[in-house]
Amino acid sequence: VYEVSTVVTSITDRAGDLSGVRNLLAELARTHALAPSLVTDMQIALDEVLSNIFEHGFIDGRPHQIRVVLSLTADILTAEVEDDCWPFNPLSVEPPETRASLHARTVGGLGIHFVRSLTDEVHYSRVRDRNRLVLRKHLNESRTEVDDGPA
Amino acid sequence: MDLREEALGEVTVLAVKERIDSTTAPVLGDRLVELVARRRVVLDLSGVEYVSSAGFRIFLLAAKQADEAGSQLVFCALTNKVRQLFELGGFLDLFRIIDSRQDGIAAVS
Repeated sequence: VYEVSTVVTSITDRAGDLSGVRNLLAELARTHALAPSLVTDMQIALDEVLSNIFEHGFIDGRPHQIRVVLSLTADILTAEVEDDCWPFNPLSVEPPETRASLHARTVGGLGIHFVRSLTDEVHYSRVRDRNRLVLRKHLNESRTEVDDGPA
Repeated sequence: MDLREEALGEVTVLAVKERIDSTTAPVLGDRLVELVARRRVVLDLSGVEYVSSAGFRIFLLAAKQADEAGSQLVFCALTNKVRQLFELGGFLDLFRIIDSRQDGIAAVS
């Protein structure tokens, strides 16, 4: 994969769900024959990031826009997610408690934990009244590479 | 997501396919919570591509519900990717995880 490819999409309401973004990523993956495991990791990370914005950013009941840009270079798959919701850095969320007993266990922080674990880089910035999160997967050092077959 | 149910005596095998993510988890959650209240449940994940945190939220809810109801819930046939996610979330030791569907059914029968 040596060319650069970029796709952009916008989500303006919860009802738009995430299938549009997932389809774009799948299409990009197909066109450039990206490793399935790498694509799955990015798909999960995007699901976590976008559902987090829906849950926390859209609670003021006002219309918002999320802009997703997927780009591919020879070495890196990048997803940039920008929203116009109130300032929120998801990377500031406390890591989940993964050792508590069944009844004490919650999934608070699990989504961001997945994002951090499944991507090679994640950066947050607040740019011109927008939250900007950049996720990267390195094509050649996918540390989470596994087969998709049964364990 | 695709759900398929099979009743075997007092056990229900719920086979899930494709993705358990923020869009599909609520549907699975509703069914799972309903089932574990009165049945022993084997959740067959062999056809699942991945589980997001929204999926683990409903797994946790269903496991607590099963425990309270004195019922049983086991997870079986995890793919490598799904197993990796269970591990990342610290769920391998928390939930009952069985290698195959058949062993899962035997475990709760």
